[in-house]
Amino acid sequence: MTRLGMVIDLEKCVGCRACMVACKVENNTPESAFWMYVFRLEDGEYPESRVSFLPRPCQHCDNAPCVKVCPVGARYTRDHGIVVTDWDRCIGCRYCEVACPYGVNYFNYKKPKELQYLNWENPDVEVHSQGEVPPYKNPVLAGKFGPEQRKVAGGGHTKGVMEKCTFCVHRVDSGLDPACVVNCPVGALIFGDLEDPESPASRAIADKPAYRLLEERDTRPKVRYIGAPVSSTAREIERPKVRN
Amino acid sequence: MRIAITALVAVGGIVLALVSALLLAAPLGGAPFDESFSNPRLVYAPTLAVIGVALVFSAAIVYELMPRIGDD
Amino acid sequence: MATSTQTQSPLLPYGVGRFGAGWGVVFLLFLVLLAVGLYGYSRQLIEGEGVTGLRDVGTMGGAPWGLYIAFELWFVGIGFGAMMLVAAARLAHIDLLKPLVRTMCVIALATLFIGGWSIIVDLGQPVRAVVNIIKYARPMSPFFGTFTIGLVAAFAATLVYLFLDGRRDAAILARRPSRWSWLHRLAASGYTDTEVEKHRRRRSSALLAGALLVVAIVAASTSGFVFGIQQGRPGWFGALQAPGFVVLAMLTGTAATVIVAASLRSGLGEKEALGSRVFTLLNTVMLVASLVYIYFIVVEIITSSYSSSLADQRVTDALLTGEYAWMFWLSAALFIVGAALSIFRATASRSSIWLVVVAAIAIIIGALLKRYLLVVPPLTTGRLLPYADGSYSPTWVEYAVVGGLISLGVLFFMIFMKLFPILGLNDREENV
Repeated sequence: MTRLGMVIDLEKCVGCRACMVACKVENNTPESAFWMYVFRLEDGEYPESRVSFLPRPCQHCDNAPCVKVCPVGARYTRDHGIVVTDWDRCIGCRYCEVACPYGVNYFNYKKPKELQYLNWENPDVEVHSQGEVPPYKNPVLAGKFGPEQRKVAGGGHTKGVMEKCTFCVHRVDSGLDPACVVNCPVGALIFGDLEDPESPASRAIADKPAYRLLEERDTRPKVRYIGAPVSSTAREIERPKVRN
Repeated sequence: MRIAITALVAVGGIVLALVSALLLAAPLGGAPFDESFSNPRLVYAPTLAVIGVALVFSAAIVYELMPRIGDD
Repeated sequence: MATSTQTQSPLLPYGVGRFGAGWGVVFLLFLVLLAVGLYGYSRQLIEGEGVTGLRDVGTMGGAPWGLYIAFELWFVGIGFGAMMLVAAARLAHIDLLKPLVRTMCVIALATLFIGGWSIIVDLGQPVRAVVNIIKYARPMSPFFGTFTIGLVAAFAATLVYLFLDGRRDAAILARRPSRWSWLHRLAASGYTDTEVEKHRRRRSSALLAGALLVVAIVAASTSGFVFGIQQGRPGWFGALQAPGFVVLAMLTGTAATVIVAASLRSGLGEKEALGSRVFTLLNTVMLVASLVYIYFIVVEIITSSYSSSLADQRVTDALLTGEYAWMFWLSAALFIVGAALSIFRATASRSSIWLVVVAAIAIIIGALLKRYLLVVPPLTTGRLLPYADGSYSPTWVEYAVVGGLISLGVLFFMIFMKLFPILGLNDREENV
């Protein structure tokens, strides 16, 4: 059985946050929503300080607390293991968010157009970007996916529903890697089938010790990390000012 | 007779609630590994569960009011 | 208009059918509060929940659950507690509480009603929610218990109890000509107070009271499980959550009953049915429950202070010495003051009613703070990845909506007491 997962090589990550940008453009996410987020951390005091980076997509847990608590089955695990949100069924109770230990959920607190970086209804946007800027309602993201035919790619970011990283379900379903993976300049993000020993993801962790975040919480994530774990005393170098 | 009908309504309510919650609604327990965990096996099963729950208590109304309904 | 009926018939008891000026002023006041709440909620519906202080955990540094959920827990807790008292009054044959049984049923119904609405106003997609819950609700989610047992079962059980228990009084009222006699006839539904009917009433009320007790305990526990089984949120996971909810429900239900009973006593001038002994009894219940609850708080703090998890420790620190310390210690002080007043009242020679009322007010406010402290600090300070601390402060919309919800409950109660006698009629009252 296919189990899609991601390997994140912290020894390679340079903290450039290209993955965050790629994610925002690909998924057209609203302001202050970071489906992919990269912690830039420091530990210790100068001159004995150490800097580290920790990319944090949704962990796509095998034992996902968010899936368990969803009262209406809007959050679910697909056949290949991707955890998605059916934004057409979500009632906006935010239970998934409070149950998730990783803080990967983003709720749409406002009308979509108020939280987009550009006013997509302005015709100039399309003219000046020569059609490169995705439309406000990206038809691909609004589509139905998988054999279950449900709306799980975020769509037009409807007000009052929960969203999070989908592993770019719309790309994966057509055989592509997630946007963050293909945009990483140093190949720190590797995507593939964790059950297939020949997949790039499995090969990446074949001869290196890999671990998962917060293993003690028994969420069994499908995101594996290579490299030194982040120290428990590490702190963010700068706080993101993203409270819209 | 009255007690029998009351018991029927109460037990019927409990059975309806349990059957629809445990067998007809979305599956319970374990790590949810595929989409089937997100859908009830019978749509509107939760409504049946709620009706069952309400039936249990209305058995008391049946018990106290039934003869009136019959006589009038 | 009511005066025309007054001239031709004896007055209905406890002000039923008579809409006096005092009642009208209070009613109008709460109607205005409700309107303000509705306006606030309309802003939220149109603009989205960005108008509230709620924000995402993690990078956004907020709390996705806040005032609405804290009040929801507080409301339904009061309701479950009132249900427990109703059940206890019947099962233990506490005759002193008999006049208050209907009051407690209506308190339970009103608080469960606004508790349900508190959940609705918290949702991002309230209209869709109503459809999707009855279509797709999943038993694996603790919310399933909230919907089926916490709201529907509790409401249905209390409503049935209220109806069957009130048939005799409704039959008495139906015999007196008034504008509302059709309603009283309907509520009496043919009750004639025969020996057979009394016998059935005894049997079914005992069984129903037992069911009420079980439902109230299970329902309070399901509220606790919403939090207590979450491993992913420091400060929530624990076996004490569900029993803590049961005890706090009992405590707040009793405190609310004390406050309402005292208001009725002075409002209706009902010094006989609501005598000092009734308050002494409720005071004893409050005393025991508050001591048990204080013990629970102490156990919880000791356990989490010794816990090895850094994240849990951080939440405990925020409560004991950090950002939320003022609220935590104020809440603890209110519980202690409430318990101390109850002890003093239980041992004092003078049987003051106001002492009990002050204790009840202290306890019910302490409980509200405790609900807030359960919901918010674990969201703003309980982080497992290296996010910065978050913050949450409610906006005017949330305060307005919560005020509107409380008004809705009060209006529900006030309307009921004008249609049916809010206190049970004396057994010696004329035969039906």
